[in-house]
Amino acid sequence: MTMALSVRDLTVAYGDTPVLWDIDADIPIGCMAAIIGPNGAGKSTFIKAALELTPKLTGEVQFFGQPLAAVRQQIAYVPQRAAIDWDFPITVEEVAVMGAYGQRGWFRRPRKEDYQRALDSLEIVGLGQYRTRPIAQLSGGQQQRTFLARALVQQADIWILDEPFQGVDAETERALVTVLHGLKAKGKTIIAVHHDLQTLPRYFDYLFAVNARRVAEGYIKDIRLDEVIPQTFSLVGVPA
Amino acid sequence: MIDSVLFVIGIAAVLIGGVSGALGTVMVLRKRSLLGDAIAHATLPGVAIAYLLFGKNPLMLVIGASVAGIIGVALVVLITNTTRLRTDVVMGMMLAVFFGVGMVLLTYIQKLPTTGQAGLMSFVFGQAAAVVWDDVVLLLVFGLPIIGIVMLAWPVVHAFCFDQAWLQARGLSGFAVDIVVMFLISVIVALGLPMVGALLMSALLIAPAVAARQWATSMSGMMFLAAIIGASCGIAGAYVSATFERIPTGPTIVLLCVFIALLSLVIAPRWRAMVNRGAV
Repeated sequence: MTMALSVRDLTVAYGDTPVLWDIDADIPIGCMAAIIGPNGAGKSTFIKAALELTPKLTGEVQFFGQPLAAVRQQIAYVPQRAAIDWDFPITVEEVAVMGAYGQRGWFRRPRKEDYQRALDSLEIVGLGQYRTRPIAQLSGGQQQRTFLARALVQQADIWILDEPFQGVDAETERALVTVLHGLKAKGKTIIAVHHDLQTLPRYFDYLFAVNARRVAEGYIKDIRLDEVIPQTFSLVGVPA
Repeated sequence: MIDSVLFVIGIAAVLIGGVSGALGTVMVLRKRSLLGDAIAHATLPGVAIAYLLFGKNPLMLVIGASVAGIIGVALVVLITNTTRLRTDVVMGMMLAVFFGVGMVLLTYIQKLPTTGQAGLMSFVFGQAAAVVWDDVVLLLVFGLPIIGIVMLAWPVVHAFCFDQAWLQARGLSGFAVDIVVMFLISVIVALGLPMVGALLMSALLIAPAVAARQWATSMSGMMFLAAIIGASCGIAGAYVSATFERIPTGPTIVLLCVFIALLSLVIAPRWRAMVNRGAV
């Protein structure tokens, strides 16, 4: 069966410190997968290595059974909010329309229909009236929704989000979850780094628990969370 | 009647200021402001070596400067990636080493008996009088297309400055874009050397962008405004130094840019506050 994301023997190290060790993963198409683990467990690194943003020592990564280069257009990546200079001179609409960049080649500027798509996406995430605002004037939650709008413009099949609910207000969290569930209903695959174990079973249907090694993986209904979660958060680093 | 010497200087100043302002926008937004300084200092040995090899041929001097600038940046990247030293440390060292080597070579050249070396030292401090028609031709051929390249590749440049991780996830290597940008900066720095000089070229890259940043709400607006400010200061500085005796060109241009940057820092926030209150 073709997986949305399949990973074999992935090992990543920063300098001499191994961060991820022999990771296998098989995330099925159409699920909403949470990547959980304690701080420093390699959750973000896992995402970044899969997207080739971080070099890997060993391992093979495939999306829909193909190498990343063949399917890049189908992948939307929503980076951590902290990675951005929020003082950058750019409006909400300009960020959203960036999702269309590169879709017809990198030397094409966005067209009218791309701006329309950007506006539609902003409406979906509830930021229609903030279209012309500089992003510096947005709240944390609004910034995250702007990112989501940009990813919507991309019309991707796999969504990879790095801590999408980090530091956002309750309204934004509801809006994000609604949008993501809507995407899942259309058969899209969502993969997100997630922190809040309370909301885990409500938001997600698939779990990938990591702490340097893979601790557990599978549909949440088939997993005993009361065993897996303590196990994930008690392991210490990579065994020698 | 327009003085033809002044005309040449004016055109050169507009082109250097305009292109520097536009590229400076990329550097300021990418938080790589020190890079222009490193490149500018690194160009000097290139100028000297090109002079020793080819004599005072403007094209060869510019090529020598660009190549040295690129080598300087490549060394910075290499050393940063292979040692535990931080980029600012490596840049600080590199810029001193290259400048030192450049000064040694230039001093050596000046003492050569054969040299009609007048003007080589202007690569350090800049001198409008040293600018000739050939320099303008070089600016038109190599400088102006830089604006074209930036406009053509706008989606790449825009995303590169705003969100490099995202651009990389879309399949474009941020490292490759970085290299191209540094190459373009090396070219405009090399072209600007005769008029502005190695010591002050970085200020011409940064100051117009800093000024424009205070007013602009979009990157394209910022880049356009920075180019206008750079070009205006270029022509104003060239005119002032050509009209009054013993006023150097490079420093005058740079001081004008810095003055506008300071003015913008003070005025722009008040202006925005007034607009927000609906007073304007």
